[in-house]
Amino acid sequence: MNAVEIQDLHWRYPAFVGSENPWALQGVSLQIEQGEFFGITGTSGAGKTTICKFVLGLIPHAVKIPMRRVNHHLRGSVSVLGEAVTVVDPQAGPHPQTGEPLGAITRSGIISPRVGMVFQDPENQFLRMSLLHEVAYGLQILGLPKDEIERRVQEALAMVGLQDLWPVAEYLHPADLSGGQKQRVAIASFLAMRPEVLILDEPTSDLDPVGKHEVVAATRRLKQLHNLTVILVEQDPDVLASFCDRVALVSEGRVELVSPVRKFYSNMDLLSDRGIYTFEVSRIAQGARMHLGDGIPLSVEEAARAFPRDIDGSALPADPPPNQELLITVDDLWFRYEDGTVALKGADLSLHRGDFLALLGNNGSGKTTLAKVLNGIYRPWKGNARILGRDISQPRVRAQLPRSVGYVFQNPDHQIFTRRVYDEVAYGLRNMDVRAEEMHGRVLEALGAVDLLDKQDEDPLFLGKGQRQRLAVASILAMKPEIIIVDEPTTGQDFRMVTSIAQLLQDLHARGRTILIITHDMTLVTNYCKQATVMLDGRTVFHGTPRELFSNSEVVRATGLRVPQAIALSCAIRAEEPDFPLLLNVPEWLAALSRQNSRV
Amino acid sequence: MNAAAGSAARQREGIRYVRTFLFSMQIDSPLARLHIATKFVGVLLISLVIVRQMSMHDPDPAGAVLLAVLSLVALLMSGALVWLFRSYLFVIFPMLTMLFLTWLIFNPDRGTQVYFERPLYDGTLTLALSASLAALVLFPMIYYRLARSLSWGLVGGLALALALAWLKLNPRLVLAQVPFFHPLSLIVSDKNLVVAATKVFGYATMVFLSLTLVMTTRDAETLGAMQQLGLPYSVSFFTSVMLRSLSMAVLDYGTIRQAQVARGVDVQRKGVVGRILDLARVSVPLIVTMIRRSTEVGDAVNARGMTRLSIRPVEYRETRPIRAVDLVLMVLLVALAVAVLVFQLNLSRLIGITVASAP
Repeated sequence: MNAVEIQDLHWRYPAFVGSENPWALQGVSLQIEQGEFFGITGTSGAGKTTICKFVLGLIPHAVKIPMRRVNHHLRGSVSVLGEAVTVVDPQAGPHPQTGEPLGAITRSGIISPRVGMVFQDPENQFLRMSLLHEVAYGLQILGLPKDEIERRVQEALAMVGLQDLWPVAEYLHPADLSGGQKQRVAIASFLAMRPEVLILDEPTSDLDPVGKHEVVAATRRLKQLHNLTVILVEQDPDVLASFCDRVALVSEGRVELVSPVRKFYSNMDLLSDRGIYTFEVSRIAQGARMHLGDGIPLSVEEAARAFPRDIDGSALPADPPPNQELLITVDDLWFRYEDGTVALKGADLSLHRGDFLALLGNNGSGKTTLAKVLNGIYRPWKGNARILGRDISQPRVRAQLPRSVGYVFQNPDHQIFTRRVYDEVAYGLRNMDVRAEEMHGRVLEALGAVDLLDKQDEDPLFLGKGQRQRLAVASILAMKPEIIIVDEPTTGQDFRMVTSIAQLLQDLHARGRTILIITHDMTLVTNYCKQATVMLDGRTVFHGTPRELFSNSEVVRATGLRVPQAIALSCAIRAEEPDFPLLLNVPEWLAALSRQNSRV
Repeated sequence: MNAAAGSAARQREGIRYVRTFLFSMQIDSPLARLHIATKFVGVLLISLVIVRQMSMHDPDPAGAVLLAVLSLVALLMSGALVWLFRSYLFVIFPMLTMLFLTWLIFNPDRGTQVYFERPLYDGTLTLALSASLAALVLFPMIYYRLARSLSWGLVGGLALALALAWLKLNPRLVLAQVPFFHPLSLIVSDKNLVVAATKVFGYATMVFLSLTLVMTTRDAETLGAMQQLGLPYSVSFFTSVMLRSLSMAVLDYGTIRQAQVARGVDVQRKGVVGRILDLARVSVPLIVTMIRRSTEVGDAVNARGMTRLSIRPVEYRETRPIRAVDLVLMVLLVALAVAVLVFQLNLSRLIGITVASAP
């Protein structure tokens, strides 16, 4: 039996002001088998979340359709586990005056608890005041007896690896939990309800790579135990390929491709055209036009078997020597939060003029804390930190730090203070009392750098997420800081948005800006960053080039960083052929392979 | 997120403190084990008793001191970390001293013995032009023209006015004398000393008790009590969503404020108006994030199966029983209230401290 059956689904979100929205779904048909682990991928705004909300019944049953004009917003049908969730009768619901049929939605809607859905932001899903009650809530709604609730909560916490918190679950407030823990709690809340279909809508965006794999692996174990059907919306091909049976490509409101993983990721032309993440090794194989026997490689092991070994590494680009002018020196820095938590325990960092440095580490390793100390937001506790030669333990120096260190926050919504794009960029300059003529020039220059000149009179709140993020960068750029810190700019974004923001940072770097980026995206590091500093538990454990970092298996193991496929492949081949060059990223591989081809 | 990650380390070690409305408390402190209803009724009844004790005709200083000591003990027993609320205690004392002085001035009761008397105001307002008045107005104006700042100008003007009055270089032209209010004098008598002291101890008791209440009450507990009281589920559901949104808003506010600092709001020294405007700017991102969050919260509630307000989830470890100790305490408190309010119990009279009013 099919767990989910969607027939020719069309959907248009109601617009309550201004012009009509375009169709968000344009004829989606999809069958998901019971017990299947089904992946959905696609760019932002393609309609992935909308499809999931239809499976749950949130759309259209929790949406107000203006003036009951159902036909104007919805066509098609959705059934889940043999139950019709949404069926549209286009002939029903005559208009009171004209008699023309407006359409009507029949059937039940949300079929909790048989279907559960975990949303992107774990903060918004935490509805109760304690961990215990958060996981118990669905069970309380189901009206289960107390001992059953108790048993299931305990079991669900164990499934997501939070069994240690069970004894104190009643006393843990949401604010006591980290982002990663909240994400696990969100999943546990549904697991406890024992759904037959579980939808995970990019549930791992707040997790570091290790946490991400752990959570999805827990879901898969469950699937095997209870014949659960899982629908996973995800961008990362690594996660999709490791866990899914089939993957669907959603693009502009249509399902363009549904295939088993291997076949899915062999459609390189379609996927790259649609802006979907693909495997690095596949991109190398395709870019070098390799003719490989059984299709395109997806994993490092497959690629290591198939790729040529006789690559000449002599033309490997040398890592540029760092500029000798030190902008930031941090030496044995300690930081303690008001509640007594010690987040930095002797961190070190040095940043030279013109660096493009990645600050890496798992959730809770202290990288954001360190960056906020460098921006003057937090006051260091102990140790030595100098920026442009000035000691930032002095309050007077710290107050002036925003002039020399710019900080772009992760969520653009947290940093938009005005209702006009121009004013937004000017805001920081007004705070710094820059003269009017100079300000105008600086605002236009910053807007030009992020390609938002034509939007200067618009309301920032109506820009897309990518544009709002560019605006946040422009607002900092206009203040002309010596150093720009960017905090996780790519979290939860699709391939195109990541490439565009990375390109922007690279342009800024090429024009002489010094950039420090905090990220979990290791591909970003190998493709763009020149140096990397890795933190673990409040301490700095590594500093060097990305090439040195990812070829150092000890550091990688200790810090749990994910090694991007391109350099993992070089390392795998070097284990057998010690002379093989340490190629860092896809462009380096392609350059080396093309040199080899021309030699042949 | 890192603070939370740090507390994860504490979670592994087992937690001893739990978050309350204000700060946090030890999980197993005596007051943490009391039912919230007992604490709430206690604060209410004791406040009524205190109001009675502070009465002008029959003050009960001994009773007020006793209750103040007991409430301070309750505060220290609350299981909250003393260093967290120490600053609140420091603020209370200057505040109470100010109140003490005010009651001395505005209480003309002469009691049986007057220790000190000094007329402060004769009951008429004099409208006059004088040299010191001119100094008080003109000096700050001139200073502002020159220095573009007001505070030191005001201080200077005041100093100049006082100096003129003290040196008797203060010619004045009386325009009118208007009777207003009644004459005031500073009287320190046995009676008004006792009343002022009673009030100081009484208000201190109220502050201690309210602090204890908010420091030992958890939001989860409050919601449980609301259900125990038999309020409709929709009420406690909305309260719960509201409290939860508030805690998200606090989190967002912190980040937004940091983002504002990163944009240089503190780079220049600003006046009060500038600071208020900065704070007002926070509302744009704060409201936007709250609206974006609210739609998702709605979806999450639906997804969990809470699709109609008529659904009433079953109880699970939310409410706690009213134990014998709660009952005993409540009975004692009611008895105290009845004794003081109905039977005019006055501890001071009982132990022989009486202050009669002047005939």
